[in-house]
Amino acid sequence: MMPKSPQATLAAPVRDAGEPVLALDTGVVVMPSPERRRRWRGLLRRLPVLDVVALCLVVILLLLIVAGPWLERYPPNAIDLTHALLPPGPDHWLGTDDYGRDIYSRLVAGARVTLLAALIVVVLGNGLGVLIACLAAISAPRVDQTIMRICDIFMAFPAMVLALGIAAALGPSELSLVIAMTVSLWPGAARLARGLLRETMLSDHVAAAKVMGVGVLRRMFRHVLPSVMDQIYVRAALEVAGAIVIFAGLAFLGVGAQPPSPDWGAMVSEGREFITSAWWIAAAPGAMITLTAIAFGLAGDAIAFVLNPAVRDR
Amino acid sequence: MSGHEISNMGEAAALLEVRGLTVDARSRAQGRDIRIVDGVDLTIRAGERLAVVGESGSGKSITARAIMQLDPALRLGGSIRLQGQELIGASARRLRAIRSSVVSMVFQDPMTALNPLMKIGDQVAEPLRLAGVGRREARRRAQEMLDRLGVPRAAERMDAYPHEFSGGMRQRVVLATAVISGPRLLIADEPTTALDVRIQDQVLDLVMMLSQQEGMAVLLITHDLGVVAGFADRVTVMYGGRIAEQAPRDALFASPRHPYTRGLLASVPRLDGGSHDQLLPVIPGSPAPPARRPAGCAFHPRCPLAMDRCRTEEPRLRVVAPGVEAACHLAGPTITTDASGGEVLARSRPEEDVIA
Repeated sequence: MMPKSPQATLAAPVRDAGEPVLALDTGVVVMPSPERRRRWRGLLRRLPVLDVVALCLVVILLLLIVAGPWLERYPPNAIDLTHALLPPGPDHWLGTDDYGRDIYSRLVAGARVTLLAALIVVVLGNGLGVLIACLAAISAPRVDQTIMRICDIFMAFPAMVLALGIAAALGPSELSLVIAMTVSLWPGAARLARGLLRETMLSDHVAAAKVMGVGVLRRMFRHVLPSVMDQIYVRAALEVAGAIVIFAGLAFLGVGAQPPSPDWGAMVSEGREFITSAWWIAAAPGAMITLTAIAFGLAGDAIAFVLNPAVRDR
Repeated sequence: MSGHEISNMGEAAALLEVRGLTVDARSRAQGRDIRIVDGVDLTIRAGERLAVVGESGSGKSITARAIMQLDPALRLGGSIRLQGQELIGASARRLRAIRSSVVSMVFQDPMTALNPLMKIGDQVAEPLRLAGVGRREARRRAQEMLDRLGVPRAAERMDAYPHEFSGGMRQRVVLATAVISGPRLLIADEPTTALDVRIQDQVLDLVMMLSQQEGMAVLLITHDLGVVAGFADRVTVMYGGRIAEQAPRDALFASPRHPYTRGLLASVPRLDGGSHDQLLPVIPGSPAPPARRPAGCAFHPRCPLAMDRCRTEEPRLRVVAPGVEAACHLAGPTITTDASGGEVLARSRPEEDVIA
């Protein structure tokens, strides 16, 4: 390489801009601008089929929460012993339980109990965990380590046991359940997020932001956190299923939803007495829990996909 | 660069003055601090382009990052004065005020230096937004800067994401982000290393253009002497965390004083001169890691001219010719009264094959 005259260097970018040779360098960019505005359109077509299915299921489940009252065919807690233990049929699509309650209607009503509670708990638990992780990541090593050791202490207990203890201590109520679950969920989220945040903080684009004079908080919330959120979403979505199962467990142990609440977990545990004679009582809510778990688990990946521009626009 | 301009620079006040900079890293494995950079002095005047050259591990990048105070885990010693203000121990608030508006930095790999989730326009405009410039105005100026740095159809590309750009285009965006606030000093840490050769030239030309049009000083970190030749006013050669030689560009290329510099220059492939059937000369061996640097001159295990004195006594950086400093026992004013510096070479003729 030889020393360049100032004239040549000044002319260089101007000359470059017009020359087609630059198209080689610019690669993908030959795309006309109207396409850019349509990047969200056709997104469903670019998504893997399974992700589309999962997102549809999640939408249906969320609609179930909102539109539940209009979808129920019977009052979910109406006891009718003359129609007890009926198998699935035209009158009772999913049969009835030992009190003659319509299982389909109870499942729909249960979405407003189980699913809603699980969503609230997952949002709260992960939100709290991520906030604490942000705090740890920008703190001095000693504070960071202290926060992480506290996480370890919480994580030493299985979530179920921790939630059981807290729920039992606070007394059986929906609020105490939500508190118990939030407390048992945040450490996992905090651990994951803190590791990801620390890693991202070392990346060049965060250093570049620092060099630009971006302050520590703005750096964290605008440059670091968004880069790790996709993985938080994947984890949170998986936890929806876990939360439902723990709710079911707590209901089964008597500290969760109290009868006659149409909690899916409670319904499974009520139905277990009749598992050989009237399988549909336990199978229907069981299938619902499974379906929800799968739907949210896959939807997490789909959300991560949609939020990552590099993958999304491909 | 003409002699006239160099003399002008001599009168200008120093923009950046680094004196006796030391950088220590805590090493868990060693159980002690390891000195990565050991007593570096650098001076950059306003508008001047200084290249810091060295192999991997010579401490050149760490020096740059130390000036930016990028790694809080590293312990810095000595003094770094920017426009007369001491940076070592400066408060976070003061550092923030200095960053971007006075000193800015371009990183090596444009693939990782941009936030993948932020639109290009927002990234370039961010320093302005932080400085309190309105949204619309910041956007307009960002687009202007992208235009100026040769990003085609900048207006349309403001809302694009980094992954839609090629490496060369990304580096232009990185550069735009770094210079949009009009810094007086741009630290460029191997800005062309990750790019292919044709793009390297374009990016370097842009930095050169900005430096000349804005009077912006540049501290260029590189391992590529070819890059230095067309760009720098002065060159600092680093080896083993210390400065081996510091000289105006032409003096360095014409008469390198330090055996390491000579080895580096000899190992640059040339199209002109030299017979084609010869192997490219190399400096034997490789630099010692910072934890196991030898006593005396750090270069002595690889130096063809090494004497007993080199093994025990660390050579100090001294003026060996006007504007030229070297840290070598052999490169003294007594030998170098001849401007070509040929004496050192002459004396070393028996060993010359090894190095050149």
